Amino acid sequence: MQPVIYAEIREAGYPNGFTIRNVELELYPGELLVIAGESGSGKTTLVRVLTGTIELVGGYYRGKVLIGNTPINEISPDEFYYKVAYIPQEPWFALIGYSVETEYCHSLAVAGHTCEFFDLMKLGLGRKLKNPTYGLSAGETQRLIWAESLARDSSIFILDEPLVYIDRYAREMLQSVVKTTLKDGKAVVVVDHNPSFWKDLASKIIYLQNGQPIYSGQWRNDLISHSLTFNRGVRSSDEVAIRVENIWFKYPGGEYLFRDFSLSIKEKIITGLTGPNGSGKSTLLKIMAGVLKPKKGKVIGKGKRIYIPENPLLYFTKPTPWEELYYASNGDESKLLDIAERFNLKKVLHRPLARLSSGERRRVALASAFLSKYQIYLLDEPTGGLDDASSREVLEHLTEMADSGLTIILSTHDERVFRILDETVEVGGE
Amino acid sequence: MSIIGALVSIVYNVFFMRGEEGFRRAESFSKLIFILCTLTLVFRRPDGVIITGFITLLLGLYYPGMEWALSTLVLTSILGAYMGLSTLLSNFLGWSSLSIFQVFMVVVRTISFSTTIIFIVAILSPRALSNTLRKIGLKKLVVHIPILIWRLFPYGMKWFTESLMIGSLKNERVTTRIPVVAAGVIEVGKYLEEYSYYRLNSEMKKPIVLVKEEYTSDIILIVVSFLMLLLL
Repeated sequence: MQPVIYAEIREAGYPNGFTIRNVELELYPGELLVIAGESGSGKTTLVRVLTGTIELVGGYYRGKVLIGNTPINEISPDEFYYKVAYIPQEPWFALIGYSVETEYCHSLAVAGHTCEFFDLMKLGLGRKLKNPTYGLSAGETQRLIWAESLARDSSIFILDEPLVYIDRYAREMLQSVVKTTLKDGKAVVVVDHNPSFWKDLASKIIYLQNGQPIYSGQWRNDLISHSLTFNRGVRSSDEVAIRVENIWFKYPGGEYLFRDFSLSIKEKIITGLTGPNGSGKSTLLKIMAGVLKPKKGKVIGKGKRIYIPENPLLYFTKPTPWEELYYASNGDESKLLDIAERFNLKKVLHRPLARLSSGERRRVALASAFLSKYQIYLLDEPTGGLDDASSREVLEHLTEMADSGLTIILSTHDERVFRILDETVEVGGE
Repeated sequence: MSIIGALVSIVYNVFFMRGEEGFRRAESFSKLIFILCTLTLVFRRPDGVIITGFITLLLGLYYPGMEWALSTLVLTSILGAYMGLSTLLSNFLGWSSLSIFQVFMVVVRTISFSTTIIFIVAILSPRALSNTLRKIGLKKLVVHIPILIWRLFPYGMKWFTESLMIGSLKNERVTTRIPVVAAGVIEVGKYLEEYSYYRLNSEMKKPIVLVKEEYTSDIILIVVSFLMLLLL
């Protein structure tokens, strides 16, 4: 049998920058390959080689990548789009259509298919056909791209950190879809910093470290990292930091997400907002921060608040960590160096923010906010896309901040975060 | 929210609030008849522009809806106020000598005309535009552009307003946020190019055909077009 994807990569990377070396893989119909490794180990570079986009971002590769029989650089865009489904870690950047149905039908029109909504319905998006795509949650966006890929009948699925933004229900759905996809003889490549989720489905694993595979071959359970060992939050408080009173909120043109909704968040503890995709966790955070205004009702806060979005780039004012922290510390260099040490940022202080990893950006944003002396920190998915090591660092900082009397409110799907929460609010529940 | 943030939200409500529904979903032929009748009325009757402004505002209450109508009124009133004040200034400087009633009519006509134009843009379907570009033989990216624009503008606006609000939490001036937004937009472009490279460089092999749901929108546009013809 012929592999659906075959790669023999001698070297790939960016001029005068990071490189990966000596990666080989072959994947047959019905097989699932997991690419694992810590942040900065080369997972994204490898995905860029496999999706033929490394040169688009100024990189290069030496070696051979075949899709079926054809070298990847000889495949036409049309053929590649038909055969390979790529679901990136930031799925919203892969959408072209302005509403769910135009996005779905555009994808099928490009692949030469007639638009039928069967796969969209199967993945639970039938009721969102007319919704604008900009308002979809990350989990819904991911499901939309899945539905398109299934409808296009792609034979190779490449998923980059597919679990980052999705809730437990969506994870179960994803697992079942992948299972069916494998049964149908398709091949799946998953990049995941925490590969244990795939142990029942995966047949192969590549574990990268510093750009080199430390293992490449059949699936091995002993390569799976163990979960973090934080203790469950123990802080408690009777004082209220934020009170949300009878708020009504809806986005323009949409339906009410909150009707007469009330909530109290206690101070000096870590509160987690959990709940299914699209339940309004991020929206509630933004309302509590004052970024969004409710139509009716009010939000009463005690102390200065700051909101750090899912994409921390939106938070920054300056182009490098040094300048951002210098600005936040009102020009106090000693404070800047202290905080850089505490948040492990010394090595990246002069690197442009746009070139930092997700974890580094999050730590810079937290450090900057911490220097500005806010009392209430509202954080959207603070560990999204982070491997265990980076996630541990962020969680340690959050725990320290709460221990020092600050109030932390965060929205999350990440079970690693649940361990540090003192209180949990299920949004979309009672 | 800052004035700029509020303006961005209004522009979003006016042009990008809805997906592919209502009049946007009507047949291109019905829309063409409606647009031709509207423009004829505007240019053939002295009070035509006021009639079309009123009619399009009423139609706008059906689709895109009340929020659209209110936002449109705010936006067009800003334009109307600008034109009114300019005319008054022109009077003051002696370049014109219009009466107060005539200045008032300048304001009303500006509001009406801009409401009409905004409604016409709001009912255009980017999907139908893409299909048309494909039909006339244009290739690849050009065909995808109308859909992409309607996807990216609201996204950029959301990014912009969120960034402004975070700036206000950080007690920053609006001007300090502009580079942040620019950096964000560049990043969006970079990701889009990477993640959608194959799709944007592929041909749209079939038109995007959505399931026909109802004829209400077509009927309303045709009836209104007929009424406008009667007014001529």
